[in-house]
Amino acid sequence: MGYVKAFLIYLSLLLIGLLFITPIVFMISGSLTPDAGVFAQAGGWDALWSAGVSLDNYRDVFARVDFMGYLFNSLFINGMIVGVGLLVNSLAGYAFARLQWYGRNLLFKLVLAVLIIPLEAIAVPLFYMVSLFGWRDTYWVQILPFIANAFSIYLFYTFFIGMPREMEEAARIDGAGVLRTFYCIIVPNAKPVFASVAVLTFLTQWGAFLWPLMVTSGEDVRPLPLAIATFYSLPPLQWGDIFAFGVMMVTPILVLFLLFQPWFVRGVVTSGIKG
Amino acid sequence: MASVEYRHISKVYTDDTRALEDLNLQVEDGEMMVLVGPSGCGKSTALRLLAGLDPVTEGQVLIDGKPVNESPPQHRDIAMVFQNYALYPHMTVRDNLEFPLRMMKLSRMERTKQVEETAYLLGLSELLQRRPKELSGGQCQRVAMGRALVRKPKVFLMDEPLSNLDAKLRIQIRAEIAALQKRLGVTTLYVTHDQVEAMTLGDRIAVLNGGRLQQVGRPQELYDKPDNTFVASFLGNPGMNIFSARLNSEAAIVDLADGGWQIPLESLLAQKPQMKQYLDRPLMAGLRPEAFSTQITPSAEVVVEAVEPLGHERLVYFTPSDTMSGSGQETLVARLTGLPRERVGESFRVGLDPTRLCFFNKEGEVIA
Repeated sequence: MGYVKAFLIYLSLLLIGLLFITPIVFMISGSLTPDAGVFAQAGGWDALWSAGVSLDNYRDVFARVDFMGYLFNSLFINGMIVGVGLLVNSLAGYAFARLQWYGRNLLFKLVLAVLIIPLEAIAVPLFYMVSLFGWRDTYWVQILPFIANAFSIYLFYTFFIGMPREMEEAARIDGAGVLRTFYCIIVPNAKPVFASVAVLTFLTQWGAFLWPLMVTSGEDVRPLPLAIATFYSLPPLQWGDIFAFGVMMVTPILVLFLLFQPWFVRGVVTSGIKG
Repeated sequence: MASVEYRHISKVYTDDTRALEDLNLQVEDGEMMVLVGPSGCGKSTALRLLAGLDPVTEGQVLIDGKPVNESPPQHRDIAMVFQNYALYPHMTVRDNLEFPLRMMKLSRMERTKQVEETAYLLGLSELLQRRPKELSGGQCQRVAMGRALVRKPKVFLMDEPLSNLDAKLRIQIRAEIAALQKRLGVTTLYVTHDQVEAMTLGDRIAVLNGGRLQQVGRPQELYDKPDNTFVASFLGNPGMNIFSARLNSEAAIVDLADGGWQIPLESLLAQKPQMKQYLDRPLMAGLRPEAFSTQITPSAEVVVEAVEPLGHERLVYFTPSDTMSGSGQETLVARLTGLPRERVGESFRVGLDPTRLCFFNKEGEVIA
């Protein structure tokens, strides 16, 4: 009975896994197939394997757009959002979890309230504001609004509140101030939550489309999602190129995820994050 | 080394919990003071206020005569050992020991020297490269002590440092702590709820209950002459028996445990003349379990409720027999040696040593 149950569980997991991996396989296979082949195979199972391996689509991508430029923009913008965000949000989470200061609880409730406001709701006033500051068409306009993140603060808060307080108190008594306690004692013991927040922020921001579309017009500061959009709007519509672009765009996320996977999983478990 | 003083200290937490009430306590230079009391009595709070981990509500904490209320923990030159050790899990034993020295900005050479000296002192030399998760409870405890000792603090604070260890290890480390404290002569405040630890470790003991200091003194002094019924029943295992007493002037006797034992009033008043003012008033008497004996008088007939053999002695729990039935007395306990004869449910005669009696008024404060 035990074996049958295990078999059924594994079978269902396998099927779900296949369901998730199919579009990715389809994308990779399509990126290696000449355009004519992509259309010919579309709609059938043979779309899952390439008709003939060719790197033409990848060459086309590089010929049609400045892929490396867009990639740099995306990496720079996301790197800054993740890097500076980790610093700012972890410090905020720590201040909410551990430090005693006037108005802390009220401010924390406000931060939690911000969690439910989607970007789309504030995009237009935010757009007016950054226009007023003359920030349009810059990297900063794509970075600054996303550094402080209520969800990240909340994740850090829940992790820090669960850490043994005595460890910090010991550090304080041993002679460390608040900041030193934070980066000598707290940060090294909070790698899982840092990894989780980094990966989650990167995942969310990597595909950002609406905000960059609103605030940028020049190719020199635009990220990858806006570049892929040009493939839809500029004829001829070549699916092979779009697939190749997609593969190249998804690769950094996969690398990042695989790199941080052990910590990420631990972080998700310990922070009590749910999908 | 330094002296420590709590001067009219009160502590009220933000949720209005009153943890300490007008605490006045002086700890001498080089002394081992044990703060003892049941859970929630305020003993750990007292330690945290001295460490600077919590702010004082009222009063002053002084180290070496200087008020430190406003100083952050890192400026008080104290060290603390926590109940759960609070070792830094990401650091090796060496790094753990070195951390306070790094904060003092000592040179690498000095740091290495001091770490190795401390490790040698505590038998940690072989473990310097290990991480806390690779250590046993006793070893973690030693590392925590080492981290506190390494920078030679003025005052050493210990918050129930043995409570996570098994019984055997607890006795071993307890002896080590006592020896180390004597050797180094560091002023130490030691918090525990275990009265055996308090009795064996403390130069003096401060007993706390409900945020109030009950009594301070040398262990034997507190054991023999408790100031109130709380201290009497808290110290000792089992604690002091407390039962009713009446100085009956008409019959010229002291009636103990509602007719259980009787002693001549005259002999008591000769010993404790101040008892005269309590003639014919309800009182409470206290007697240590070892002050009962089957060999002495006055004796009384009692019924055995339970017997706990401890090898070299036994604890016999008993209640007043038929002659005293209905008196509402609680179970009393005697620590007896010699051949065991008592059987549960049967009666036997037990006597008490009247010179070891303590008397308390109805508020529970000692009279004599």
